[in-house]
Amino acid sequence: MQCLRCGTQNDYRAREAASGGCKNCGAKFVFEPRKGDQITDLAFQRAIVAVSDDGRLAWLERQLYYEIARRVRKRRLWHRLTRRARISLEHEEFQRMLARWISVYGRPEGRLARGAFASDLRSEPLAPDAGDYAFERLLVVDSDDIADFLLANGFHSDHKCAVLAERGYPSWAYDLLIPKLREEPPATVAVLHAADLDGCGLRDRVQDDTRWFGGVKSVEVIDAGLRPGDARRFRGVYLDGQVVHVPSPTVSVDEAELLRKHRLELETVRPRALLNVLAAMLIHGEEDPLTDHPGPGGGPDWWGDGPWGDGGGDGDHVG
Amino acid sequence: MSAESARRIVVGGAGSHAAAAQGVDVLDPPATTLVGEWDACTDGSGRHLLKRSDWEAVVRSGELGAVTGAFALAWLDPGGALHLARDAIGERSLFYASTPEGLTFASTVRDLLAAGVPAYLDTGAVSAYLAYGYIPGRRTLVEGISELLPGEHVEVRDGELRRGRLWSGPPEDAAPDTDRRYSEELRGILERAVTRRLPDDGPVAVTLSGGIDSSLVLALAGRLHIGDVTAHSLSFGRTAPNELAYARLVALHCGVDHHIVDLSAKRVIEGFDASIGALSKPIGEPLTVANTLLFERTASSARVVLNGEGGDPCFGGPKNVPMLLREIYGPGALEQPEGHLERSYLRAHRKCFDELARAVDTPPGELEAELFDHLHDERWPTLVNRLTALNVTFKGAHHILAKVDHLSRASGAVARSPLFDRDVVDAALRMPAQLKLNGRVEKYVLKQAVEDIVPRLIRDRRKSGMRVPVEAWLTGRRFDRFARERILDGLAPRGLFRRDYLESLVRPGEHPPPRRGAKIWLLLSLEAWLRVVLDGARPLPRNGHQPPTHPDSRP
Repeated sequence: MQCLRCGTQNDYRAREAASGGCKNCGAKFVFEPRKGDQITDLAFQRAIVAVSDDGRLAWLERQLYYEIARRVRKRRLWHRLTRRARISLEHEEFQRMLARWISVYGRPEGRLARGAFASDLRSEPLAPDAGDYAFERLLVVDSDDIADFLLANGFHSDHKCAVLAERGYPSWAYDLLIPKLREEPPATVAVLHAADLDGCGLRDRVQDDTRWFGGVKSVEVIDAGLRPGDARRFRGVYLDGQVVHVPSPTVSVDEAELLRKHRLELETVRPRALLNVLAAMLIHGEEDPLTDHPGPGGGPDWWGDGPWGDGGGDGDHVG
Repeated sequence: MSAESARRIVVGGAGSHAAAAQGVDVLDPPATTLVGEWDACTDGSGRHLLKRSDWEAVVRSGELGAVTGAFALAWLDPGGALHLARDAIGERSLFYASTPEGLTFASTVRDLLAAGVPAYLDTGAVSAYLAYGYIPGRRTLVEGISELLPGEHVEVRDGELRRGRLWSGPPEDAAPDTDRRYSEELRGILERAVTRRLPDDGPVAVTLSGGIDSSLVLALAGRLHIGDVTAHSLSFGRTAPNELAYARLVALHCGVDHHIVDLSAKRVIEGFDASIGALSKPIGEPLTVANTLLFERTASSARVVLNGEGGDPCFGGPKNVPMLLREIYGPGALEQPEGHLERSYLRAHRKCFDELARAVDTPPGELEAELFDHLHDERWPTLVNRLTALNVTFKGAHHILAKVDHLSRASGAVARSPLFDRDVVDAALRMPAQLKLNGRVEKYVLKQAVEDIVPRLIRDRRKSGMRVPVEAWLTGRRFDRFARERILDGLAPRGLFRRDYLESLVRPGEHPPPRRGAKIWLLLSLEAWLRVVLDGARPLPRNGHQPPTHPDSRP
């Protein structure tokens, strides 16, 4: 195993001789695969590099959880041979791994704490005209965490797209924006959600709820979220299924059948891939037939193919 | 009366004798006590300024601050003090350097270097270039060479340099008028701005993207000019994104001939060095080379070329919404609130601000500090109007107009930008911000002002802008090799950048950095500028080869 501090390769005998440390610099290894750990220090570090896109992105702890889970799955041959659908690492186990990592290497940079854009963090007064404008794009997401992730990485600014979570988070932004957005609806309103029963109903709720665009004409909400059928590339990071009664107003019979077997969270999609696929969707949805723009291609099956669909699968695409 | 121009390099001060040998206009008392270049200028009472004597009269009367149009001027007063002045918006450029012999000035950095100013790289300016894609303000890439700000007046008396303002943006109206009144007033100002830039007769070319800005300039020129008006658009091939359908529609609507200039990666590579080398400060925008080739093509049919530059910075173009959204959401828990607005502005350029630390050695916070006063100027209470003022001052004067000035100069065209007319800018700064960004409509008042002459399809369409297919070119062998060689063999040995950063950029990895094409172009432009302008100013050794290129620091 390679020491992350000095780069020296240490075989097991050397590690044992150095009391679980590096033979050159003495730095302790966090994980010891010979003693039951499912990951090495180097693999854990590479997972952090992957979710942070080499330090360029802010990320959620749950995104790291899925990244680590994909790497753990690689080592669990039986899970791969049997094509186990369910995630190979329990969350509690991951939390213990992360705590051990932090105790040696410190807190990894870029990790978003809960409520990173909560309104009570705002101290500076807003520009007097900040609430006077409407915006061309709005993305409504089903979790505050994903809203934080998008905002911390400048998705709103890069794509001129207001971002709000369904429960009205960040409340400051929701209170400021929603009256204007209802008065002059965005040209593009999209929802982003997990592949679960609640998420699959988000489009209808944003369309019909008076807290959003209920009663407002000329708004068509696009579903950019994960549908149960999209999950096939994400085999290996599924969560347990849920009770779904049919007929359901928001999922088809086939989707209900799939949801009974598994759910899939948005955090399974690697952070950079999530940002890329959302950007591609916005461009695709707004293609202008007169500009001869070839568009990204691929049709509406956004999560089905292509590099952004790198949700892990059997761990062959995780880099 | 036609719009007259004097298109010549002005040079003066120490080293002027060397410059005189190149046939430029030299301040040479007592025979010549005023030199300048000007284009389409009128004084405060609307009289055209055509001859040197007209300018001498304006200077004597102390009314230079009322002049509208493009000019860069230098003169000696009766007391022997040297004065330099640049037009209000920055349509012409003027550079100066203090040397042991005194102050030297010139229209371009290359002319200053030719006049003997030492060519040492100011490494501190590289960070600004990476963040903005150009270098705003007085700073240049050459140590000791400064640029006059737009609307600035510099006086050197007894060796002491003092700066003053000829123009300063008017504050936002405290008691706003009606929307209709603003759009009607703007229409009149636009017509005068275009008229001022039209020749008496003869052909006029208009560069046309198919967006609202160039379309309205074409529509007004077609109505106001008695000679031929032609439209010229760029195409990067059938497979690249383009707006030609809109451009064709506008040309048809205006009843003018429409010409399309086709550009391939090969032509862009061939024209790269000459185009970037014509700039006084590097500009890392992919349209620079295309602009040069377009100017060359139009210059063969019409000397005067109008463009639609200025609509975005003046009237709530696309930079505003990202800034507003960042303002609304705030910095979040991972960042400090201090400097958030400044960082937002730097990030809105979508260049390398967030990658500075991994690319170069740079003191943190320096770029943000330079922006503070601009983003907190109380003449404009609204964020959108503060951005208008900042965009005109920064991007207008040091990127867009500098590009138009230098590239058209090199290709023999006289390029004019009516939407950067001083009266247009004044009107834009005075009007309420909500007239520029109205609901979700960008450039609302501009669209209102020309609703009878620009088709609704053009006014209502979403802006996509002219996009150069750099990413697509990088997938081809020719451009990819060009980029690798220039960056790894040309730029890397200078030691300005961390090599691993440059390698990660040119290596098409599994997870390339976002906007890789734009960043590669940025570095290619810097490399070409350093080699052509900075190295080109150094005397060649006997064998004719350039010395190894780390000599960017002083010996």
